[in-house]
Amino acid sequence: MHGKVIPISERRNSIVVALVGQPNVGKSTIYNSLTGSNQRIGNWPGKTVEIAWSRVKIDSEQIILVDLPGTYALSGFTEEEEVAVRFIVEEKPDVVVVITDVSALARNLYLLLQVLELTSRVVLIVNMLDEAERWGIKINLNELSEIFGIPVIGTIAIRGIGVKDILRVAVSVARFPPRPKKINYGELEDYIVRLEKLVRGIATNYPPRFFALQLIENYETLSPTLPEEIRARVSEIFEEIRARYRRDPRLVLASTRYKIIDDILLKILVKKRLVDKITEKLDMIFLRRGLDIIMSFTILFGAFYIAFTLGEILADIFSGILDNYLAAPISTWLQSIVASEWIRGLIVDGILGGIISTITFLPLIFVFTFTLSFIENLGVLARISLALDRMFSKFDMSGKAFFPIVTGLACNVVAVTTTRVLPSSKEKLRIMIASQFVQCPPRQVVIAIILGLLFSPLLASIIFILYIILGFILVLLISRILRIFEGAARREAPIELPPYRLPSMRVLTKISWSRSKIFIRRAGTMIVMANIVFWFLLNIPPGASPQNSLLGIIGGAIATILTPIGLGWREAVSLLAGLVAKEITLGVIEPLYGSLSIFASSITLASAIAFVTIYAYYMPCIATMSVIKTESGSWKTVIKAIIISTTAALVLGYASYFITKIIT
Amino acid sequence: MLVQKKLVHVYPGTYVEIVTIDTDVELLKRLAELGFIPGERIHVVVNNWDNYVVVESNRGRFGLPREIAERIIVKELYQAPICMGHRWRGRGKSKKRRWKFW
Repeated sequence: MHGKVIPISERRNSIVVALVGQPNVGKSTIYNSLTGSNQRIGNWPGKTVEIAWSRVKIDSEQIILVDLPGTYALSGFTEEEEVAVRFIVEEKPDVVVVITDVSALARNLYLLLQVLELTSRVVLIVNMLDEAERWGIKINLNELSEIFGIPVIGTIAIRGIGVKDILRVAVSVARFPPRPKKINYGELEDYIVRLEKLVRGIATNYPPRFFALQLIENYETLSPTLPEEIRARVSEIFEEIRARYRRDPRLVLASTRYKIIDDILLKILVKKRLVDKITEKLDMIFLRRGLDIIMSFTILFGAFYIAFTLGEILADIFSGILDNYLAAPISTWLQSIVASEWIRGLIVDGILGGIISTITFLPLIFVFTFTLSFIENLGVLARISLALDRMFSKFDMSGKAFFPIVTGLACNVVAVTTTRVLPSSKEKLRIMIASQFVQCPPRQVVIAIILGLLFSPLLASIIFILYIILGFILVLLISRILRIFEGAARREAPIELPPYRLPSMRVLTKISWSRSKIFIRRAGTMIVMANIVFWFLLNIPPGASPQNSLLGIIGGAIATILTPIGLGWREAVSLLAGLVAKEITLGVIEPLYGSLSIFASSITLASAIAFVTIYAYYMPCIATMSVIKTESGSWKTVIKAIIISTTAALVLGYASYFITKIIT
Repeated sequence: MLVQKKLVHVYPGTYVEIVTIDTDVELLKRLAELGFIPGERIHVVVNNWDNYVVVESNRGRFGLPREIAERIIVKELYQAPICMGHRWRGRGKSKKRRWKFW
């Protein structure tokens, strides 16, 4: 079953090399060092976990290099791990490169032992050799290669040392597969051989020995798939292991594997220090009780404040350049060749407007991806996640959910893209929807302006802050409600705390640039299309006023829902126009009323508050909707986001109308 | 005989050996894959009693949410040193319960 992630046409005459490794081993650094910025993304149908792949050419050989999600083992505990296993089993890469970190070999080799049961075409990378000194490590890579019977390469990926050899060795492994030495499981070997004989010919996708081991590890899920007679015998063997060792067979297998690893390391590695002194000292400060949460919030707000300020400045520069040097000259040029104002409007406001709006997101996406990657590679993200985990677990979220919620204050598009740091796909989808209630800057500006017209500066400021706080409360509440419908309880898991390391700026820039390019390629098309559709709605029939346009007619229909709270078609049209970009609402409402002050004086205070409330929480803008579609891979999530936010906005709008009426 | 207790009740600085893990199959498997297996020796680095426990072993450094640390039964091999005559206990509301003097 090839070709689900990488099209079959792409695979032709190419060697597929999959990079696999536990988290924090420098896999992405190696992948980005080996590839250009022309990365592509694939995913399994129905899965949100993406697999990045690139074409690389070396010594006239065409290689497809695949960056699989970080995985501790091949058991599929998380969706990332499930995707990594499925890729190796179903897409059958020509070579699997297992990447390890020299300071964590005692754990990283566990994955290698599993991969070696699945395929013989394996290359082992021992990365971060520069850290060997910091840890007092001496390692014999030649002996390691001899023990496993596969090529072993030592690398310092952050400096590019040894990285180029990976592809050359991978090509030679694809052409002349090595013969890895069989891993002997000692006392367990007899049981494994018996299981192997039983399942031979049953699971054709897997090698029998791998399937036999998987039966021990995933007995509950795999045994029901077996024919009844075989199932009974497998169950017998499983119980035999349990009776002999008086403990769960999974623990016995894991202990055996770790025994094998420890024996190997005794031969090839001398490690003087168990603990990295810098990590030890920093953790004593960072993870101090009480200080951990303060530190986490300080770092996050500090980092995101810098990122937001920088992103905004860059976005303004971008937008200024594009408006002055692209939109304006094209508009002038069109005036001389196209007579119809309507067609000029379509080109400039519809098509070009969409393109400019997409490109304006680029600096924000880049800066936020860079910041997030920096925090992650520094080793701080894991600590923040640990510190905030318990606080957020009350709302069935992980500590990392804080990222999209906070970044929503900068831009809801960025918030949706940062959901990729979340540990489970269900949580990702949940937070994508819930994060829409966080007020982005354009919304904040519109709310502040309208409140400023209605109240004194002090009261307007207090109400404004209440809107922001209510947004956060809604995020937690909606996420909690959505969680109830998900069913299964949140799964707790240990969080690895990698050593503190200073990341390479070159690699971070490359990663951020690749992600930004992918955003432009995937979400950009949708944003431009949606912009054109909305332009048509606002400008059909040609020359019509907003009230008589298609959007005005739709607004008129929607106004029936808003009439009981004193709002009419003008408010409905301005809300609809706000879908193109939230700030447009003001631009539409102003000409419809003549001026904003007339708007403020034309409607009652209760209606104005209801309007602001609906505006603050109603459906996301088209750019955000487009990104939700590309990140979630389904329109279902977009529709959910629209229904939930609009319903909540209407309920709150009505509530605020009646509350204001009672108070005043 | 060495005292067995839940990992969540172990003082920072203590070296312990895992005795049993009492949890569901999925988590048991994940813990085993990360090296949390009976007989494994670990060092309790931080214990934020009501939140998480940070442990260090040959396999790496991990933060264990309280719910997981409660399910790991360990035996103490080497107790945390006493600093200035007392050891921080961390739990409880009154000062008397929070500090234990030796």
